[in-house]
Amino acid sequence: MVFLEIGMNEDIVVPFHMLDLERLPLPKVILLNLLHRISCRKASNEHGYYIAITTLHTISELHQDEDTGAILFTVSLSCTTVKPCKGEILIGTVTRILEDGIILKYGPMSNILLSETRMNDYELDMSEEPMFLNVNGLSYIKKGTKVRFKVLDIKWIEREKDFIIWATILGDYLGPI
Amino acid sequence: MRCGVVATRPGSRSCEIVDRVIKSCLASFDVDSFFLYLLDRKSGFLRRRRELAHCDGLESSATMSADEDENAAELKIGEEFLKAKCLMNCEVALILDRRLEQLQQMSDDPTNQMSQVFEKSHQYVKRFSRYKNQDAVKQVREILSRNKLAEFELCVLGNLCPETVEEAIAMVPSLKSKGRALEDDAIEKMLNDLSLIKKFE
Repeated sequence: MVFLEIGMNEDIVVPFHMLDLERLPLPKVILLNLLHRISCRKASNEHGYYIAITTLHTISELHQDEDTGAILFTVSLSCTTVKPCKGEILIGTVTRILEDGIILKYGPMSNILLSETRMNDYELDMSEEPMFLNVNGLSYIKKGTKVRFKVLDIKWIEREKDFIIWATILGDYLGPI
Repeated sequence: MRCGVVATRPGSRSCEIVDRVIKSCLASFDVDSFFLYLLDRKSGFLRRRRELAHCDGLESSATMSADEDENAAELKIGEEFLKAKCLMNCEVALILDRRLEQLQQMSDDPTNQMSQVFEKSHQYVKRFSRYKNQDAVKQVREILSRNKLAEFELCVLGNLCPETVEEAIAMVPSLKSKGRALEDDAIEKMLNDLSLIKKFE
């Protein structure tokens, strides 16, 4: 996954009771509101995982909601995100060894599935510590190992606001490092 | 099929059943079935949550990735990668460090303002950045930019730091795609310059 810096617009609603200028300056209220919104959003299919706001460009003129009295702003900002791409080469860390594969994590992503069928010449060895051992005995993959893998397929799960990635280490220069 | 949350103890019968279903999912890449694993560190149990997307699409929470032909190896990447600026891990590490400092200044409890995504991403880029120094990071981007690479290719090379020309081509096959084949000498010089920066950082 490559990190991206994207431009986006957000509509911020500031409840009337938060407009106490003696206690908290208004731009800070907007920023805290924005940070809260972005952290709650977690991810989207379009942009990937929202990591951090980098720049606030412009804040529009305020509009007031006549019913609630809340203040509305449109904020233009830049945000750092990360999104997976098919065919990409990444380095992940093993979190779990299963009978038929491995689960890896990469940054905010913890659902990266590497099936045994996509690991040439590796066999499960449960003797002491669960691991996949290369048949030539020269390398192994166990919990905590860093693995260079290729993204085979990606699924966006709307309900979880999360991606699932299927990975492979079939290819040159792929595997444990 | 109904959705359910299964809390299992390792070694239990229900654990074995869930394991068998997980096996078939991993082996078959069944697009209608998937498993999400949540490790509950506090209790020590492995909680597995199973959701099955109905074949008729009813309440399907799994959607195919937007572009079926997407392939980073051929530089067939989504519009979002073309429109946005791509950043290397080392650049993101600097950004997130600065962001953390700002949060600490702004708020009494900065951890309250940090999402899990932020924390995990920060941990990842701190661990996997090859270049720590701001000047070094700038030099890396300058060197990679000299070779008329796409932003995406530039970031992949900057993140993976291949040591040989063969490795670089294996990581970024589009370097040798038709019409814009980069000479091996140019790739080798680029990689040598990157390793010099690392050496003298």
